[in-house]
Amino acid sequence: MKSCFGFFVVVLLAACVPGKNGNDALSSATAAAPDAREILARCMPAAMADGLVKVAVIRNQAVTDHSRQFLAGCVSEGRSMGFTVDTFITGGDNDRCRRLLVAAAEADYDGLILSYGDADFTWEALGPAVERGLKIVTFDALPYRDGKILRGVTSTAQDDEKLARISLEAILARIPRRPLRVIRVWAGPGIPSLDRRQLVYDKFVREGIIEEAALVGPRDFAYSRSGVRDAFVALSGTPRAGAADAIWAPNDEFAKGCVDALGDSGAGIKMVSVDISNDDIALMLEHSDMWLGTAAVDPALAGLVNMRILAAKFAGEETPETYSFDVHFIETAVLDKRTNMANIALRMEGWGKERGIFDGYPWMAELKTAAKIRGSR
Amino acid sequence: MNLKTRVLLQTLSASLIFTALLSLMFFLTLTEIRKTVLANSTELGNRTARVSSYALKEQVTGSIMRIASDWAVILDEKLLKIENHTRMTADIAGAIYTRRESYRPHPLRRVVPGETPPSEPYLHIAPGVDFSAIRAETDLAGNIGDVLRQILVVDRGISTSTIGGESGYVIAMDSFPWPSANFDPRRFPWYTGAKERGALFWTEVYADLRGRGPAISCAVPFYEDSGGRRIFRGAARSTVLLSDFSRMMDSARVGRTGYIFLLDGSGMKLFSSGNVAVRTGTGGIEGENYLESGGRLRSLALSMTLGASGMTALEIDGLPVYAAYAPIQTLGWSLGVAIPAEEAGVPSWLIEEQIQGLTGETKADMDRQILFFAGLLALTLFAGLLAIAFFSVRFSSAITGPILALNNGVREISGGNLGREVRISTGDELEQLAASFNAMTGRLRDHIGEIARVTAEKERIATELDVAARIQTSMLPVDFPPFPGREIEFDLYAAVYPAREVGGDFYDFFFIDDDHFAFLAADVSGKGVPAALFMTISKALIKDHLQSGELPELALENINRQLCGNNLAGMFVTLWLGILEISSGRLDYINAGHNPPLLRRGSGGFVFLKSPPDLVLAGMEDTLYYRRETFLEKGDTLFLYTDGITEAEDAEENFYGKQRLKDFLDGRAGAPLREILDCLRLDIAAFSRGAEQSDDITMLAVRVSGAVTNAAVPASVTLKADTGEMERLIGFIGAELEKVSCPGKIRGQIELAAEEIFVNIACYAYKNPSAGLNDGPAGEVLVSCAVEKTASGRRIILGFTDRGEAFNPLEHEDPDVNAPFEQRAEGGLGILIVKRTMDTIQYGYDGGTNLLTVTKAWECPSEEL
Repeated sequence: MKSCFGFFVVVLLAACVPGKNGNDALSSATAAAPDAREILARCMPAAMADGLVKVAVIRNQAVTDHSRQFLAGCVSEGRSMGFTVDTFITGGDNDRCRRLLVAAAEADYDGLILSYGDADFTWEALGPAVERGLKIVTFDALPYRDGKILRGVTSTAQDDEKLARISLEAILARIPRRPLRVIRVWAGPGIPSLDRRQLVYDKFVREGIIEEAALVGPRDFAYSRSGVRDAFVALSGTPRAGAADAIWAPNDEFAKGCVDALGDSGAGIKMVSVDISNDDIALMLEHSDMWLGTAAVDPALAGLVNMRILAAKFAGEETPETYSFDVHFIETAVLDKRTNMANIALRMEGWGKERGIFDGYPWMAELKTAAKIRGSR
Repeated sequence: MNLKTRVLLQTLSASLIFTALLSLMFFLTLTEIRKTVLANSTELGNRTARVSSYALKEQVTGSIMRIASDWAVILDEKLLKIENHTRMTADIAGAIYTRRESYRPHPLRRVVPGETPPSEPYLHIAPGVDFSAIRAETDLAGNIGDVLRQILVVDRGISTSTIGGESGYVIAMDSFPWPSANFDPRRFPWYTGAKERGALFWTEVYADLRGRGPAISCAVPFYEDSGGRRIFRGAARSTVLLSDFSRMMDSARVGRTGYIFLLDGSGMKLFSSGNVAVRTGTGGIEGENYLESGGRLRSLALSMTLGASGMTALEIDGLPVYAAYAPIQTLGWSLGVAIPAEEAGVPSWLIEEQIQGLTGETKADMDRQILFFAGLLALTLFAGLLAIAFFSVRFSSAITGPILALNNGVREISGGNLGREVRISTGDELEQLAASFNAMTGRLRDHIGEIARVTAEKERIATELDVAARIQTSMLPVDFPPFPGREIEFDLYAAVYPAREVGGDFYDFFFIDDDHFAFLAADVSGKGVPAALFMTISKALIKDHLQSGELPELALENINRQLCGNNLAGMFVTLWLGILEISSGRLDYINAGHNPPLLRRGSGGFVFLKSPPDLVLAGMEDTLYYRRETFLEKGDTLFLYTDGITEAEDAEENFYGKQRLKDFLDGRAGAPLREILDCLRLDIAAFSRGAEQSDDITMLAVRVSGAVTNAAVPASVTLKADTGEMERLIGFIGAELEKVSCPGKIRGQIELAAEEIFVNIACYAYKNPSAGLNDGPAGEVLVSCAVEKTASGRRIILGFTDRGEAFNPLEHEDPDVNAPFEQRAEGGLGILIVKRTMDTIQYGYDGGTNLLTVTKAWECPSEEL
């Protein structure tokens, strides 16, 4: 009996006395910092681990909502890893951009991200930076010459061919008329992404699927929205009813200009576009009858991925030469007033998610943890 | 400690131990939970504080980034406005020149150096310029005056609005003292820059000549279109004092101690904390150039001078700050917003403190709750203990109550109260036990009643037996000396010690007539009352028959017949009866199955008197009894006894025995009879060593005192058991026979028989040494010889005592004397001669001693008697 009682007491004590694992989760969390330091010390330069990395992000485009989204993606991701991220917007001014790249190469930047630039310009402009050993990632720029990519540079891009194709296919799917009479909004040539999208459009025209009803465009790409609006005004306002079936705006700023010009009196003309921003969402909802949807890549995701690739370069990881973002066609019908660029992922499956090729870097999470701890002190 | 207390204590102890262990475990668990929860709470608080701190700092840094961007845009807008106003001035100036015919001369007052001009445009002519030569032009250009006035009104960022003519004049609008008469606009950067660039031109920071501090100027050239030609006529200029930036940004607030600063394209800090950060020196503008610093400040300067937007953490003037920056596109400058890290962290630290305070409160709350809970638990445990105690008492009472009731019942019953009933109604085994116990008590009560009844009966019987014993005792003669006045003839003493209240042994003695004294010792078979009754009858019959004058043997035969007649119980009596003829010493005696008495003749030792036993009395009807006789001399002692003496047992069941009796008697042979019998009784008691007396003990001793005169006094001689002693033997016997004039034939027969007996002893008694007794003289033969008177003559009694091998010659088969000599068996002839020549021959063996007694009587003439 005594032994039974003793056994019972021991079992009860054992059952009732809580184990040490009760705060394991917290322990592991609090233990993350030293682990992070060890990991970071092993896999990356000390400057990176100490938050002394400095990155220049140069957006060689006008200050658009899309640009802001891209830059915000870069800045937030860079800062989360403890980088100092400087952003530059050169408004499509290649000379200024080139000067800036030279200056940045001579300054104390460790890496840079260049967004937008045609082949010759990009190759040439990035030369000094490459020579200085800066880590470089480009987005929608062409760091190529003779089919070769600049040494050590990773070129990321929206799939312009796909953006153009699915946007055109979307409007074709909704309007059965063939050839579809399309008003093309254009600002080229010279803007690489737009030039690539134009090639797809031209192919549809050649195949007789599309017939170009009119061509409008801004005089200055830096003022696309107002330029397009002015262009429509120059075309004596609203196109005649029945003169065109659709508008293809290969850039969201162009699309904004279109709705500014045509408003609700769009004579039944439907529009599809490329790229998206918070402003775009608001206008799409306001002019949902006209603006059917847009093909886009998440610009913030583009910025984020560019920064992650750059971080991988800092850490000495192998990085791909090219990286292409998934393209989504966002129908206006799936949006509502609560939708914005931050929560659009709730409406679009796969939106805002990179393909996970960088998830294999354990140090990246640790780097962010270290930066967070450092930033909280 | 009674059972109830023990059960109660054990139950309470077990409960207390269990409760204590449970409480201990509970409090340990509670303590551990508290520790864990507090640790988690603290950690959670710390983490929350850290995350909140981080989030707040992110918010703060995001906020200063927005401030930087917003103020950069605001400044850009203001500078663009200045540019526009300057452009407008230039455009109007150009239009005045181009359409000079449309304007009337508008002469302006010439300013005097050192004079504070009135609030209207004024004119200054550069040194070396002939005013009269350009008077018409200055009067034309004077039309710009209203424009300059309006610009100063609408654009408060412009301190001085000026146009400088290529001909060497200046028209300005401000309210500051004119510096010098030597002022020539064509020598200043703003003019040359605009002229050379042919477009809007912002100067570097310079020292205002009129002492208003560092300033910058925006200059735009203007031209006269004349016949398709553009003729450079001068430049419009807007002067912006750096000190005016404070006015422009007077609403800018960056926290409590944060500030805005401006770097120009060279990295020089122009403006900071609402104040101009450069000064006018001998070498021009002097100030701090961040590009010339090191570390992160230089890195910041690089970013800013490149026109970057961003945010970084660094130290400025030794103070850790967060700095956000954005480009001022108009000037190629950069606007920075710095906020001390400490202040950036203030909200976060406040939050941290608040969270930690909340955590502390949570801890305190938790402690209070735990204490409350512990108190509640303690109260609950206390209440539980009370309940346990209560139920323990109930439990122990329930368990032990019936047992205690049973115990009390048992105690009462054991105290004698057999009427006590135990009443238990538990419906379980205890109730069954109580019922069984009551039944047992009932039976015990009955049994005890029976015992009491039997005991009373036994008491009654015992009383009656006691009376019977006294009656029986009173039947025996107990007064000694029994016959006062006859002590000179004999002495007698007797005693009986019954094993129970009454016994079957008895003795008796009485005179048949004056000369014949009868004495006896008898033993009735069995014990108790039947034996006593049988003894009474027997005693009465013996006395009656003997005193009636019957011959002893006839008397016994009659008595035997009488006893057998109604002896349904199958009882019998052993008896040794002696009748002493006092006058002659002759003793007739009959042995009815009794122990042979011990006889001591004179001062010799006791020997067992040969008295071949006849059948016991009441054993068989028609039994014949034979009377035997001997003579007692003065000093002879006869000791009668029953088997209660010889068969007395000690604890190891050893018999007292005849030898021990004989030895005892020998040891006290000369003592008074009372002393001998009393001491014998004590010796038997000592031998028994407390063992219960198993049989009645009866003793009777008679000692002839002196009246007997006819008793022969035996003579004796001790001879060696050797035929060589034959002569002594014959001499001894012959001498004795000589005394009584024994006839020769008789003498010859006697001497022959003696020779044969002696030879037999000498030849055989000691031939087997192992058969020899240890306690007697080995190899010796005691020969006694007594001659007694008989009614008709004399009788010789020869006794041969040896301690050799037992040999009963009477059992030896007589040899066939008629068989041829050669066929006769060896030996036995001598014994045969003895048998044929002697009257009696008796053999006894007792205590290792062979006693062969032969008698031979002869008649004597009356005169010899």
